[in-house]
Formats: sequence, C-alpha cells, structure tokens
Amino acid sequence: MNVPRRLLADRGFTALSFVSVALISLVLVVVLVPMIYRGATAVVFRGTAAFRQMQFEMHDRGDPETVQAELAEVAKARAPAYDLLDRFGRGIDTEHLEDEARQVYQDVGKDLERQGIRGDERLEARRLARALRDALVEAFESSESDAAHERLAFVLSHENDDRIRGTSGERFFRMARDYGDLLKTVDLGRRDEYAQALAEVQDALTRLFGPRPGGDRSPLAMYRYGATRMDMAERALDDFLFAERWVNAASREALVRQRIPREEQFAGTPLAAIFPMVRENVEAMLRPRLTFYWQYLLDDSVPGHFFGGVGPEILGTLVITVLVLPVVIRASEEAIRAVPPAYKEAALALGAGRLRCFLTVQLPAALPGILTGVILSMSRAAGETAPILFTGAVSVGPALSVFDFGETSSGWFDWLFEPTRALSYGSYDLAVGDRVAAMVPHQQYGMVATLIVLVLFLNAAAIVIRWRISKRLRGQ
Amino acid sequence: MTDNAERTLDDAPESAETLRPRPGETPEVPLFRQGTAVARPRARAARRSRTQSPGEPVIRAHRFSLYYGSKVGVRDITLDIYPRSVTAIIGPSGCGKSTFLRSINRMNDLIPGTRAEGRLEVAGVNVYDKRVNLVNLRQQVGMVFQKPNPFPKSIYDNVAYGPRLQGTRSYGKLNVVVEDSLRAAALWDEVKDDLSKSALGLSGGQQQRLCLARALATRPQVLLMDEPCSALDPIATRKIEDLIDKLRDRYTIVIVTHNMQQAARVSDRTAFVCLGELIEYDLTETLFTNPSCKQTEDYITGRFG
Repeated sequence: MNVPRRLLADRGFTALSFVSVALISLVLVVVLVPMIYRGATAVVFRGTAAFRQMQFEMHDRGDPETVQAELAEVAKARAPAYDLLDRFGRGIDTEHLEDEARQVYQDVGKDLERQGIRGDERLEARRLARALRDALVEAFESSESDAAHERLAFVLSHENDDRIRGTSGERFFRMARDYGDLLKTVDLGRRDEYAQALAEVQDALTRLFGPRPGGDRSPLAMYRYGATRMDMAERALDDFLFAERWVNAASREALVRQRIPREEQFAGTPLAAIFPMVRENVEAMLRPRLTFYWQYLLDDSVPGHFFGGVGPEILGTLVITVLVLPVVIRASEEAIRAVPPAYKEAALALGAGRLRCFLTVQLPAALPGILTGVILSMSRAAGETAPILFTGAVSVGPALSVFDFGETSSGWFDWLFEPTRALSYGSYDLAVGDRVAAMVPHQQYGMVATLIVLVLFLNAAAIVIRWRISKRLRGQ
Repeated sequence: MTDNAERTLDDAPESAETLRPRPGETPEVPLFRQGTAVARPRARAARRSRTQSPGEPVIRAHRFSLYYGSKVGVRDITLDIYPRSVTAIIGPSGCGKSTFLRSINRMNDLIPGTRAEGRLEVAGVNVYDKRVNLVNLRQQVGMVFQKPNPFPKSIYDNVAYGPRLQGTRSYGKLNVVVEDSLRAAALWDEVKDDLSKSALGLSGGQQQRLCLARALATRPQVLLMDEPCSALDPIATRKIEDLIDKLRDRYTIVIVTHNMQQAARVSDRTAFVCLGELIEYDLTETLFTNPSCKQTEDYITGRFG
C-alpha cells in the first residue's frame, strides 16, 4: 500500500474510532440519564402520609404519635369522599342490600319468638315479612324504575301493619324509603355501566388512598399502602379523575383512546361531587411533604422481595476483588519497579526514611501505572459474572445453602443473606419499567443508580487522575 | 570550554548573586551567605592562597575501609577535609572515589552486604556508629548526583522536599527557603515564574542546579558532589563550577570528578585515589604542579588511567 493511501486509511480508522466513541457515549447518555433521573427521584421526592405510615410500620421509623395524628387527620379529610362513595354504592351495588333484607327477615323471626307470639298470628307475621322481603329484593334487583317503585310502594303500604309492629321488620320501611330516595338520583337503566365505572373508581381510590381503614389488609406490602409518593399519587389520581375508553371513531379505523372525565360519566348522580372534592383536597388527603429518603440502603426488602440482601452483593464483590487482585498487584509491582532508582537515592540523600521515600516519591511516580492496572482490572471484573451468578443472581428464590442458616439462625442477619439480583439484570428491569419494580412501595431505584454513578465516577476519577499525573510526569 | 562561552558568562547579569534581606528574616544572619560578586580564575587563585591555613577538619577519615562483601571498595583511607573549602577526589574509574564519597553520608547502605572498618568522622561523630541517626546525618551532609535527578514534582515541591521532611509546613517559611535556595543555586531568575511547573521540563543544567538548590534547602554543612558535571555540556558545567566557587566559603564541598581540569579549577585540595587506596592528598596547586608520587604524576599527565 502506498503512503498516501495508508495515510488515508489511518485517518479513516481514527475517524471511525472517534465516531464509535461518540456513539457509545450517546448511548450511555440515553440509557443512563432516565435511570439516573429515576434514581434521583427515588431518593428525593414528595412523600405522602402513606409513606410515613409505611416507614413506621415496616421499619419502625418516625414518632408513633405524630404518625397516628397525621393518619387521623388524613382519615378525617377523606371521610366525606368515602361517604359519597358508600351512598352511591348502595344504589348500584345492591347485593348487600338484598343480604340486609334477608337478614332483617331472619331477625323478624327471632323477634317474634322472643315476644312469645305463637300460632297463626306468628305465621301471619312471618308471611307478611317474607312478602315484604321478596318485594324489596325484587325492587333492588329490578333495573326498571317503574317496577322498582311499584315494589317499594307495596312495601310502604304495609307501614302501619300491626303484624310486624315492634319487630325488626320496621327496618324494611326505612330501607324502602332510602332506596326510593336513591332511585330519584340513579338511572337504573345505566346501572351496569355505573357498576363497572364504580369498580374502576374504587380501584383507583385504593391505589391513591390505600385500602379502606378497618378493611382487610393484604399480606403483601405492595398492596397494603396507598400512593406513598406524590408522583405515583398523581398517576392514581389521573386514573381516578379520568376514564379511558377505546372508541371506534370511524369504521375500519384503528380504535382511538379517549379520556372521559369521570365527573361527566357520573353526571347527575351524587357521586359526581366526589371528583372535584378529591381533586381540590388532594393535598389534605395525602399530605405530601418533601422527603429525602436514604434509608433504602438499610431497608429489609422482604416485603418487596425485589432487591434482596446486601450480603450476596458484598460477597460477590469480594470474590471478584480476590480474582483481580493478582493483576492489580502485578501491575503495581511493575509500575513501582519502573520508577528510576535515582528518585529513591535523591530522597534518601535528603534524609527521607524508606517509608517516607516510598510514599512521597516512588508511589506518586508509579501511580499512573498502578491506576492503569486498576482500570484494566475493573473492566475485567465487570465481565466476571460467574461469581455473581454463584453468590446471587435471583431476586426471589431459596437462599444458597452457604447462606442458609436454617434453624440455627438468630434471625437478625437473615435479610443480609437473602437472594439478590445481579446489578446488570436489576438495572435492565428498572430501565424497562418492570412490573414488580413499579409496584414495590419504596422504589429502590436509588440503589442501582448509586452503584452505577459510583462505578462511573470511580472510572472517570481514575482516568482524570492518571491523565493529570502522567502529564505532570512528562514535564508539561 | 571555549572562549566564547567564557565571554557569554562574564557578560551575564549578576542579579542573582546579591541576596536581599527578606522581611521576617534577621538580616544579619542570612541563610546562605553569597560569595564575592565576581568569582573568576584570578579571584580563585587569590582564595586558594587564603586557604593555606585551614581550621579544624570537618571530615576525618582514619584507616577507613569499605568492603562490598569480599570485594574491596576503599582501603585504609586516612585524610582530613577542612571546612569552607573545596576538596576534589580524582582517580581512574572504579578506583573507589564515589565509594568513599558515598560513605560520608552512608548512601552505600543501599547496596546490600557493605561493611566498613576504621573511622570516618563528620563533625566529630563516627558516621558508621550504630547510634548515628541517618536522617540527621543526611540532612547535614547533602549530596548532588552524577545525573540530574529531580523528583517528578513541581520545582517548588522539589526544593521544599527537604524542609518539609524537617517538619516545616508553613508556606510562609517554605517560600523563603525555596527562594533563598534557588537564588543560592543561581536558578531563581530562570524559574521564578514557573515554580509550579514540573522540574522535568527544565534543561539538564537547570535540573542539576535545581538538585543543588534542593540539597541546599536542608541547610547542610557538607555538600557531596558525585561527578556533578559529567552529564552536562560545557556551559552548564561552567555555571555549576561558578556556583561551587560561590558556595565555597559557606559549605564544605567534596567533589568527585573525572575531569582533572575541573579539579584544578575548582578545588583547594585534591586527593588522588587509585585501586581503592589514597595515593596522594595535597593542596591542588602542589598536587598538579609538583606531585610527590610517580603514580600521581603519571595519572595527571595522562600516561595512565
């Protein structure tokens, strides 16, 4: 190859490598920036009352009285919303009304027995109660307003009947009146539609506020609390305020997503008032507060079971350290040996002791070489996934027998050794928004982001230091 | 050295040779007393006559021998080196000149298996005594090596290395010492604006003067020079020689050299060493003009060695 052509090829090659370096940097930025952003928001965010409740209940952090007081405040703020929901729910979800009617019928039987009424009189009373019950249930089940009103009118016509006066049967009339009131506001023809929308609303509200106080609490921490962070709360609030429908705008076209304000969806019903109420009082209902949360580093991850213990990570790191140690030592040895003996001589002649001489003259002069060895070893260690696979690569599963202390375990350090995820896999999951990752109550993106930033920072610092030292050693 | 070079140096400004008293320093006790403003061959001859009556010797060797394992480094050396004078040691390669020089501040200890016999005293203390504090000794007996060996640090840090070892931390004091040492080594004007630059960026001659400044910064009594000019060009050599001349009435200087002209130019006394033994030790003038040994005469006239 002649010289100009070789020159051209050389330049081309240089340009190519620069372009590839630029591309890699770009890709790194594209991948890392969102992850680092999410990591940062995992550490600094607006924590809601639910976050503090979770911190207190799961990690015993915070003052119990303050937390309780706050929860009471929040419950007070939320109470009107729950009231509205319950009142409307009674009209839509009538199964419990039917159950109540049946319960009243049984109570009537017991009351009659207690009052000592026997014979025909008792039979008559029971017959009437049964008729009232059936009429009520029919009214509840009916999706036609007229039929329902007719059944209710039948019930109310027996209001002054002596046969069930003084028994629980009087509750039938109250139920009938309440339901009659409800019927004025609810379009029974759209009951099914309402029932579906109501389920959505209730679901969104659960994600926003958590399960109803006093209700059943899930054993899984991720279902036990409402939105712990304001960004999650805003998403849940959006689901609460807007319904999403896929509508066929034009025939033979793709379906189009539509956002319908639920206020419109429930227009004319008493429930419509709940949406502006929650929207305007969301601060009082959630009490968000700017939170700096670093304790994720210490958190026991059992409830989320997403990140696992710190132990396998540390052990894996140690194993890899031992693996690359020979390379580092060898490189350092060579670098120190390559320092001209004249430096040592000069330092000793000035009265330095051996250690002093090593620390102030030989080591600084050898540092670039040592750092080169360290950087190379770090790259190598990054590729050494086998030890990581051995020490921990799954987030859910049985612990390795090495870490399984079984019956002899005293418990307190178990969380340290539970299975953990390999960083590479974990960060991938985080980057693509894994379902579990999104639902873990204390999103621990921070941990991954911390590690990545740490590794990048170490590398960058080593490169900068090496560059500066070698520049100084070259005498520039 | 060419006439041209001589003239250039003669015409050089002498600003570095006057030491201004600095604030915060007692002016009557300057750190480094400078030599007379002009030190030229004529002045040297005059000085040489003045050093005819030496004081108490600073370095005394009495039947001093040093062995590398079973090999003889120097044997049975007995000589006195007088304060505030320049003593040259000449001799063929491998004869033990450097070995003797490096014994004075015990730099030979770096070589494993060395063994000393006899006495070698610096200021009345036998340096091969086990109780001798090497750090103190080496701070009193500074050394300049054959090849310039500045540390890969800044010029400032190079000069400040010794004072820092002695525990000086305050930059106020360090600044004074660094400036005085660099002035004493006639390097200040050349580097005063580049004190934070790497010493390795200096030229060979500048580096050697920096090493000299570094050695001076610990305020030694004795300055050992192991062929300080052998890696330098004639102009740089001339500068070093001028410096030696300026430092001679402040320090006791022992210089090892291959260059007999240099020994004749700079030294008051000269020792001729051959095969590890001291052959002759006398005033330089006497040794070079009227040697008492046949061997010395042969060496200095170039018939052997």
